Amino acid sequence: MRSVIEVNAVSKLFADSEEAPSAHVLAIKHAELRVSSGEFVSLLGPSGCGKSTLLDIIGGLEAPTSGEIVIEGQIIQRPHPKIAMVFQSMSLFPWRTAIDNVAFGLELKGRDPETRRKTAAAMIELVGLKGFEHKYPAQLSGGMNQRVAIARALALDPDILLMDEPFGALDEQTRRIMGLELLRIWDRTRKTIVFVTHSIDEAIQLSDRIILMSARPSIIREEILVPLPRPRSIESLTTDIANDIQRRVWKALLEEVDERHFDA
Amino acid sequence: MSGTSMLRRKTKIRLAHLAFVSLFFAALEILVGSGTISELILSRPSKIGTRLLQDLATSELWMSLATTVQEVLVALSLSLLIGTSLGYTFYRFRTFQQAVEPLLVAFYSAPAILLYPIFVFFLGAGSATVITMAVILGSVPIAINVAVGFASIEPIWRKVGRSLNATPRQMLFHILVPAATPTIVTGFRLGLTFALVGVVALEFLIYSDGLGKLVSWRYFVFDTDGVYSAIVLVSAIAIIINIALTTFDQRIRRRWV
Repeated sequence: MRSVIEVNAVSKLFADSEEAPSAHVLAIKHAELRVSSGEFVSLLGPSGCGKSTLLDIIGGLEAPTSGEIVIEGQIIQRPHPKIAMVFQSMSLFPWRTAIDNVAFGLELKGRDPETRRKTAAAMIELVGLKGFEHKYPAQLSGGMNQRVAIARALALDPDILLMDEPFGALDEQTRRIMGLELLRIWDRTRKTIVFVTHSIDEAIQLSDRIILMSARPSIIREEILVPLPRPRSIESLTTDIANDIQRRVWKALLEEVDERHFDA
Repeated sequence: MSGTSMLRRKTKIRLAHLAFVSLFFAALEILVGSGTISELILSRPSKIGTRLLQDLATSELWMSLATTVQEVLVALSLSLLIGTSLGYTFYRFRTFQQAVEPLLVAFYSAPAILLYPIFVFFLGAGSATVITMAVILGSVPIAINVAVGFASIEPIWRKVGRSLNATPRQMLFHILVPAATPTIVTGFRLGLTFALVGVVALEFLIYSDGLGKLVSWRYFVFDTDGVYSAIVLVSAIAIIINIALTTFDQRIRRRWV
């Protein structure tokens, strides 16, 4: 299958701080990744491992120190118009109602009000929030707000969704439900999704492929295919395949802990 | 808190206000009436009230009021314009802000009003000086609040804008301005209060037409009732403006958080 996202030898160096501008932190070391059209890929790793940074680089929000990102055959310098991002939480504008939040991107792109209203209403319905169009984010639950955030990203009809721990701030139960909701939406829209998470279960529940990342400097450690049949349910996580994948992920994580131990 | 107990609380506060104010005026009435405080220094509230009613029937008072209100409105508009642009410049150019803001705040907290002779020298002892000083007083809190408002918005909102390739203009009007609105409105409220203080103080100091001049003149001729009647009027304007702006401020805040 054709790769829609190519991460070619990407490294990222951060200047440490204002106090010590000469000290640099290597956040990402030589990352290589190909994502095919319609694929659901998770970037899994411990907190602070640079997976969000890698996502920002793919999204064109951060420039790589070296290497390049190719989206649909084109090296990107800034956010690609066919990419939309969903962030962890608090990303909605509290002064806009749900439907006006969803229409935000369309507004920036200068679509006419009628198109905006229709598209936004359709997206609200797609994420299961019909009836809540005119509520403000403060009047909605955390899960509902993330539904709105997903609808906002989908409103521009992107080919690729980059999701940065979108359910990270939700409780476990809501997180699972939102995962299944996301799969339902993905099934209907067939977007390519790159999903950042630190939850092993979440990665297994959702992805076709898990990219296991190590702590700083972040390298792509291992790629694990998730051959669980679709559509998936809550029970998918209790199958032998899922258990096997869980074991492999844990093994890789523990190996890394060992290595670090010997390093120190 | 339930709706009724909230209402009861509000009524309680109102009653306390009323009790406090009545007590205050009653005390004044007794202290001045008994001669403990000279009638040259303070006036009896009952006499101030009568005088205010008489004043309200004269064109002298209404003309002074009109001049003051006009000057405040002009000063406020200019303060909004200058303060907002300056605040945005602060936000955009951090180095400029770091260089200028401390000086501005220092200049501002030292009574800038004392520099009025310079302005009288250049602009004459009239409306121009009054408005200029009021603008200096009014625009600083606006500038500072606008800059703070822009700088302290949720970083993720800016990220959302960048991920959608928002132009600098869209970033400003679709994200920064609405996000900073509560803080900016607070700045406007402070700016208006300071502009009002500036206008009346300068009218008083340089004897330029308006309520400040009226008070000054009445002091000069030992018309104590008249002094307080005018002061009550100035306070009334300040209170009305403040109530209006606080209500507006609260309404906006409710939406934003």
